[in-house]
Amino acid sequence: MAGITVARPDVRSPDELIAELEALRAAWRETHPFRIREIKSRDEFPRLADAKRRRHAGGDDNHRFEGERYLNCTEKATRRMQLRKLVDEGGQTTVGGPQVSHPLLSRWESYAYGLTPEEVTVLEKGDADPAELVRRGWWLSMNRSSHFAVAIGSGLVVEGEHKLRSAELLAAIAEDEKRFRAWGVPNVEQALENRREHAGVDVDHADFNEDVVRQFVTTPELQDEMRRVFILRLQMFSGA
Amino acid sequence: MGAQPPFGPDDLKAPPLESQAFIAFLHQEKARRYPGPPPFYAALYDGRLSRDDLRLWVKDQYGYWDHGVVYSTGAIFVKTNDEPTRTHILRKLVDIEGENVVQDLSGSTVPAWEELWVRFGEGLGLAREEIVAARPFTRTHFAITTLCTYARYWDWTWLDGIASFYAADLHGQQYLGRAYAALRDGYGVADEHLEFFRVYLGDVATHLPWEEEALAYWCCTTERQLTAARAFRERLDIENQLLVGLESTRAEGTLALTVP
Repeated sequence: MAGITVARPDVRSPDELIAELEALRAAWRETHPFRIREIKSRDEFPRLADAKRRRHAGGDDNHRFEGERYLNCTEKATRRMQLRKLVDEGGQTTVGGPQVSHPLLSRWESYAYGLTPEEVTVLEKGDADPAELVRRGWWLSMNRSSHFAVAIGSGLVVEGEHKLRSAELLAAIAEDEKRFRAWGVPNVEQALENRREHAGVDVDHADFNEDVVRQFVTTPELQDEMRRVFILRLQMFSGA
Repeated sequence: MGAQPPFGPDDLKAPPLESQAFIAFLHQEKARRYPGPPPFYAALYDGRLSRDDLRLWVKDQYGYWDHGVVYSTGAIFVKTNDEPTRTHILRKLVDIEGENVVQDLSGSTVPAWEELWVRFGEGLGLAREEIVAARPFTRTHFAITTLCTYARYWDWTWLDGIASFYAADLHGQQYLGRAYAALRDGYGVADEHLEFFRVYLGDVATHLPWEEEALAYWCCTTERQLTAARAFRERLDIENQLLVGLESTRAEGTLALTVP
């Protein structure tokens, strides 16, 4: 058998692929640490309000990228799971559930920092921040044009991180809640619900994303595409 | 926007119609363009269809309920940045894909329209596999493809898409409502096999009011009214074209062209 070399298989098993993606995240976090946000002074509100203004500028794009994933999906059961996610994020109240839409949750958080409903509406109708325009333009394009499993799997970056950090995120929110109440912030529950929702529901969504990756990202080409998208999404949240 | 040249200053000189006048205009357009039911439905109402005609109807239209209506509605959802309207579209998607998708929230076990359509076919004696694997008439395929493309890309704006929903729901409420009665009373189809019609008609009745309200509010310029009215007519055309292959097969006694 001398002289025969066996090529390393190009296709990773689902476990290997998930482990590889998590290793990419861990390596990235060595140079770009994930910060658990705690608001320790009310003096931070103006800075947080400015960040939210940039986020609202140009409108909320949740339905666009989540909807692109839905449209993209050629596997019926997965598509319907993605519809279930659209309901979670577009408002469970639509079908008699308890949670309002994520865009409304985002507004509630902004109101706590001093934005008004009218200001948010004006911002949403206005131009996006230029950097956000191109970041979100790429994000939309990727969700529109990638294989559906890669598009859904790309949720592993943020929702997956929230799953990993859920306990810490919820603990920070609990501390902020005490401070918000001490500071007399109105509608504390609403003010924190956006963060609480993402620290919680994202766990289920991350599990869905991972299941889709395990089931469908099974060729060398798709696995390469998944790695590339995963890295670009990490970069997107680190100033790229 | 299909291949039509753009509206110019002269086309846009007239002020927009008042909102309720615009809605009335859409109804007039529907009556003008299609004063009667599609011929296949007329034959259905008159009791002139055989069981085999009904079975062919189920097989040919499966792709519309399974894909055409799902994809086109989702495509308009993605384009809609007005949250109240988008929320209604999300509810419409849940109706189409099956309320059982959100059973944990609503308790509903109602399945997708396509599943109910299959069950209707089973009630007529078809096997599920026959329905799901059936190849549609080429004209039906063209109609579904046009619907999906116009909804997905730049041919229809989000508001044009709402106008297309309105056209399809008016058309469906009118003609599938009569089909339900004819199947039950004239063809002796057992009520248990007609759940599709009850669910569909119930769902459509909840969507027409908000579609009308959205069109009345957002079609507030002459250009929006012109393009929405065109999309409304185009959707009526698509709905009618969906039945052309069936009707020509029935009337001429030879199968129309079929997708290879």
